[in-house]
Amino acid sequence: MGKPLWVFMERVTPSGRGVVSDWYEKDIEAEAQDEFDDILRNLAVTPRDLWVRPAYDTMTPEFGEIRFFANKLQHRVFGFFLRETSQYVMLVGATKKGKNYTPRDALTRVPWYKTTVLTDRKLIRPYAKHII
Amino acid sequence: MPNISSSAFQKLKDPKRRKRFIANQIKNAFAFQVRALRKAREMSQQELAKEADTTQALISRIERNGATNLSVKTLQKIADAFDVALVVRLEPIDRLLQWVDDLSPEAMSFPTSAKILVEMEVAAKSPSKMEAGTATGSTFRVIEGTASRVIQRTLDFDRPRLIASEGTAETPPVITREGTDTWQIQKIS
Repeated sequence: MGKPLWVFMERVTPSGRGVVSDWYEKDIEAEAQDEFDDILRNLAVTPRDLWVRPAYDTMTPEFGEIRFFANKLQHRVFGFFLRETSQYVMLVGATKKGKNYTPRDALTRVPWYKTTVLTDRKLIRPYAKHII
Repeated sequence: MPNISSSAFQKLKDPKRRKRFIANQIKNAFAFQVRALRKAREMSQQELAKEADTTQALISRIERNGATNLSVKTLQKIADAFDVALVVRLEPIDRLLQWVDDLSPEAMSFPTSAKILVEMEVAAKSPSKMEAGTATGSTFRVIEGTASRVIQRTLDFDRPRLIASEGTAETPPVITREGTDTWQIQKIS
């Protein structure tokens, strides 16, 4: 089997918990988990220029969001590319209703999360829940 | 058989989740694949629509929502426009998992049927594609006819259509392709 183009990483809290893994396990329903798994499997083999809507949106030059709809809710996972290592780092997952996110500060804290993990690369680890 | 993680087993054992997993192959995977193929062929949505005798709006919908709610006839038109095969058949879950497990970009975007057939034809005529049957992974030198044309290849010894005689380091085995042509091979490593 061939290698994917992108390896997914997730932010880890100082206490060692995977932020996206926790969100996946505790905060979203099985339907959303399955949709997220499938979107990640497809993005993993998709060249960067084809990461476009509806599955992905570049929000600023610094970060973007993985997007999917499941269980009557919009879901967003904010993150950024580490091109030198062919990684996509997921910083935080959220659900969205209108303009409101749950957790509420998910979007506003993205730049800070990014700075944190770039300062200390131990705060990211591989994410593999989508892998069969 | 693909190696499946225990968490994937748990998910797929649930009939609801299994159905969703299969449905997602029609929805998401197809959408990603159409976009990847279209870009690889440097076609706009409009151009693909023209080739497939459909509308740009439909191509856009496919790239957003995949093949959900499309007729096989429409899917066939898209496949024809790309000159690729559309596979509509019933398959066991393990085979589907094998496809899903293939995370290579080549699984998303590949050449036209016409190009692949030309390559296959060239390969079939070339002794460099010769394969035979013991000692997988060993490297052999293929001696084809005269000493002036010695071709070195790594032979995949899993294909049944080539028969290899027993050989030793001193006495190279002889391989026969479909019972007609004969080549001598020498083991290198």
